[in-house]
Amino acid sequence: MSENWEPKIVTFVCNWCTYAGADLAGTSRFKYSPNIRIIKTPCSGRIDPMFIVAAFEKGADAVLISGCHPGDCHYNEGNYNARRKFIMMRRLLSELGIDNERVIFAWCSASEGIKFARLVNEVSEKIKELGPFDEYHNLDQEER
Amino acid sequence: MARIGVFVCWCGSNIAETVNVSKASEISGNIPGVVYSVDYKYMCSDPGQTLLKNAIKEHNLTGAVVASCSPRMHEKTFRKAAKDAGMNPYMLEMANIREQCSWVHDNKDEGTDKTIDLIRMMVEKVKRNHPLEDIKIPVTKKALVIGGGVAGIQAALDIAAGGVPVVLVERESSIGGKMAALDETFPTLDCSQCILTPKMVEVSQDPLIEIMSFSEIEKVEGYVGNFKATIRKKARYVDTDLCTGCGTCWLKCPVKVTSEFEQGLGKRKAIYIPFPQAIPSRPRIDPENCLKLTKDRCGICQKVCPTKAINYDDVDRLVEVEVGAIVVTTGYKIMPVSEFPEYGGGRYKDVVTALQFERMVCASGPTLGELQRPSDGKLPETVVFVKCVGSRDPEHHHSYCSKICCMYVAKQTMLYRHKVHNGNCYVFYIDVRSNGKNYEEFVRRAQEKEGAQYIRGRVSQVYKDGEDLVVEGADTLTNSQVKIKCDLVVLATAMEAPDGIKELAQKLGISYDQNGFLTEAHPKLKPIESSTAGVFLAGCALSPRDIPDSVSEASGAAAKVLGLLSKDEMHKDGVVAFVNEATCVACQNCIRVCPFVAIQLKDICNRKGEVLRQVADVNPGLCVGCGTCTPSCPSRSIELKGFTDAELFAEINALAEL
Amino acid sequence: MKELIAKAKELLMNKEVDLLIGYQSAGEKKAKPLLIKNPDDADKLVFNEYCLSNLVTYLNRPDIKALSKVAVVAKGCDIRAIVVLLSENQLVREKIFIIGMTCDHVMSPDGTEENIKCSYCKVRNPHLADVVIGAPIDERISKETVVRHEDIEEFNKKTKEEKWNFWKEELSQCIRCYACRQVCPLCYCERCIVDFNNPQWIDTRSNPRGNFAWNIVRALHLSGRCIDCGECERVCPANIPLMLLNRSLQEEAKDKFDWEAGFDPEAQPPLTTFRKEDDEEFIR
Repeated sequence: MSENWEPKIVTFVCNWCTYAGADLAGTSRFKYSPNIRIIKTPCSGRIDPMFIVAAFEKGADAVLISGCHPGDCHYNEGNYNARRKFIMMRRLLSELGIDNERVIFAWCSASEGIKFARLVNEVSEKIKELGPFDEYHNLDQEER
Repeated sequence: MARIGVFVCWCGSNIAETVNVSKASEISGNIPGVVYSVDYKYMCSDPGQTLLKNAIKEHNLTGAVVASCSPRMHEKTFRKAAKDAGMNPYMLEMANIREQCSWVHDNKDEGTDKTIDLIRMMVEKVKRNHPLEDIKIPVTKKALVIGGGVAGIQAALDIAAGGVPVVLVERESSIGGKMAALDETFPTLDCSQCILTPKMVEVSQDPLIEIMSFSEIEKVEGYVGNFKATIRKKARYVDTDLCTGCGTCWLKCPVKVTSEFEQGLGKRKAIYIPFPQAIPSRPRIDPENCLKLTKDRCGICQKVCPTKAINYDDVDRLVEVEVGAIVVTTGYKIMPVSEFPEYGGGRYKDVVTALQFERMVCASGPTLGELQRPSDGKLPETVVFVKCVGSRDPEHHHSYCSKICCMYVAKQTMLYRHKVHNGNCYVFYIDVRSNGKNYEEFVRRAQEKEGAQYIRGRVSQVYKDGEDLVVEGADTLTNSQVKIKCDLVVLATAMEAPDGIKELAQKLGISYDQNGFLTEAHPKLKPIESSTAGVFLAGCALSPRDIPDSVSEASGAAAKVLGLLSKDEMHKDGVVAFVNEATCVACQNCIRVCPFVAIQLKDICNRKGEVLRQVADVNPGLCVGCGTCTPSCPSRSIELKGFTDAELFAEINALAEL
Repeated sequence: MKELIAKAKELLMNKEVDLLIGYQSAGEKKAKPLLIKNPDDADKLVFNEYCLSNLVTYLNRPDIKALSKVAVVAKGCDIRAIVVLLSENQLVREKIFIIGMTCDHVMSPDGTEENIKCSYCKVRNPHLADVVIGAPIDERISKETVVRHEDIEEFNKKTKEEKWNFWKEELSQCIRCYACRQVCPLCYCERCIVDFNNPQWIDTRSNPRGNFAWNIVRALHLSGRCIDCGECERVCPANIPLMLLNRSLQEEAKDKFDWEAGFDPEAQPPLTTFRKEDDEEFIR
């Protein structure tokens, strides 16, 4: 691992709560680690568990998924549906030996700018500890 | 080929301080597909927007990425500018490099690198974006109000006042609802009928309002702006067009049965209007008690009817109405005393509900306002009121507060004392909740000036001692047991969701809570909207409310209806789900997860009209673009415009070059 | 067997069904599918402990769906697939005639021992059948029993690294023949997600990265649906223990959603619904 290695964290968020929460972190000038890239979806219900796999394939070291708290969903139920999918995905990834620390789920509301900033920093620190997800990234290379 | 422009905003120093904007612009220019890139001090300013518009025209751009503040701030601004310059607005995306970059990072190199990534992600997305059109939905300028109590009456009047025709459907034979049965109302003690019946008359005389009484909703199809409701007009056995409401029939009818309107305390005929001021003032025959209809005898009403309006062969009829919006004001029912045997309910005639008490003191009630207890007609010298009966009692009945009981009990103590000046009246209560305009003053008046004696505590039992009732309970303020001998016990029983509400909710595709009350779309910000677009809610259908709250909600719902129906067509965001009919196998996953009932199965037929197979079909009028359907589809036959898999994958794939 | 043949002949002779799907012998200790339209062919039918394949998978075939009525010989475990297909609107109940076979157990694919899935079978006596053939058999476990799989318990003793290395090795052997998909009675999509190229979800070449993605998506799409017939694992030419993944998710569905697939055609499939009180301890 090179010394100035920075983790790549792909973040999928819903538009109404977490994206707005991330905006609030900005307007409140809460500083956080610059190694996340946010991909906006309308609702956590739109986030396919396979996005996690796609992100790992493209070099992500961790994936953070966040939507509205239960009961807050702009579409009433999207986050509840998403939660069931995530439950299954987590179990499957853990069966495959993929560290659950690399796939983080969080609820973060539009008013939780501070939670969003802290979350990013915590995840970033954790992934720095774990190091790059070489196992996944190098899946093909080892064959060669 | 994509021709994309990238516009990097400095936002003064807000972005430029942490992001090397010229470098970001320069590097963005090298992203494949990008033909123009620029940085500018304030993209949202007029010159900034002009820069965007000119670039779109000059460079023939097919798409644009504005890297600036949050899209929540200015996406509308820039998409409008793009549209003005002739580009489909959905071909413009924003990279959020202020709220989610410059404002949260300090290091300029890191900020710049992140900015370039965010731009690259959006460039790749825009390459896959498709031009989208706003959805236009024609609307039927007519409204349906379900429930003709005071809320429904108010909603109908307000909608009609806005020039929109209304169909007001009422399940009973007259509009008026529970309010028509009340004596006087808190906190002003004005007579309920004196304030309600003029409104009822107004409804009946408004040329834009059609009352369908003694009718129920059979079926509702369609969606916002375009509902088709089938209404069952139940057999009335009286032709309401011929009938003049002269009253000869019910005066001559020989059959007397218990009156529902009088809460079981009075009688009515087998052909009847529920109360004298009924609207429409047309009787109906009660087929269960009419001698002609049950035993083929009598037939007096038909003989005496001067207009030949009686039709013993009448049947239910189904009527279809097309409306653009629906207001549900189905009200409540009161728990009967029989649910409370511990309080003597159902066992002793002199244990009554508060609504029965209203009829007992009402000048138009069965005793014409002369207070008599039901068992022997004696004037009650001592009355005990018990509050929170069935409410705030999660172990046995309902956990919710019925909200109005504190106030009407205070009122009823006054009504009682006005009739029986030396009478004793006691009120068992847990709390007194009097949060409304002039409510607290009203309760204080009952307690301090009108002689009601409030005892804080629950009643344990009510039993009979000779002719008297004995109420036993706790006084938790003095920590003692109390026994009160009385002539009459009034139970302030809980308000409940009315019968049939769940079935109605299912027909309308709206949701209800564990108590059967209808659920608002958002408890704070959409308190009178249902989860189905175009269906609004008001009054006690939502939960217990008092008259002013019900009326103001009804007016609010009417305003919503008028707003919705003010235009010839509704415009809606083009971000909706769409189905690939070639690959859909109709597994119904999307239908099951859609929170808005926007997806249905559709038959695919051959030329002979034979069904070949079924596929999912999105109603763009109902779809709100959440995209929950998409991950539920294993073959990805349903996708969300504006957030397709290809578009989101493009963003993920752009990260590969991180 | 006589009863089965007689019933098959009756159904075909009376034109009650257009096609009957059953088993025929494929040599000693082996059986294979038999699709017949002629009542005379019914004599070839067999049913024994080597009748492993889940014939329900044929019911998804468009040519078979087009027939007006089809009879299928099905063990209780196979019928669970029918239940899922019914709940997912893939079959019309009136168009299939289920010949339910009581069944104590079938053998493992190599024919040497009792199939592992039979040790926790709850439907030795078939549910939902139109006719049940064979004497009633005592169920070994009740419907309420929460099944725990020893192999999963054993597997979960492994560390993350051991698990990862295990699957890396196993999945690197996948040749992407998609036999697992083709044999699965519940993989009925007309266009599989693996066949997409815009976007390309899964690298279609047989390489470890694509193999991981393929096997993840396959397990996910079966989560809450897999009825444990074990056909994918049986037909895998690389002998990848696919059921280890499927069974883990079956356990998860039972633990988290109190759900077992294939028993109630009216029930809402677990990944198309939710409970507000669903587990969310893992969500920050």
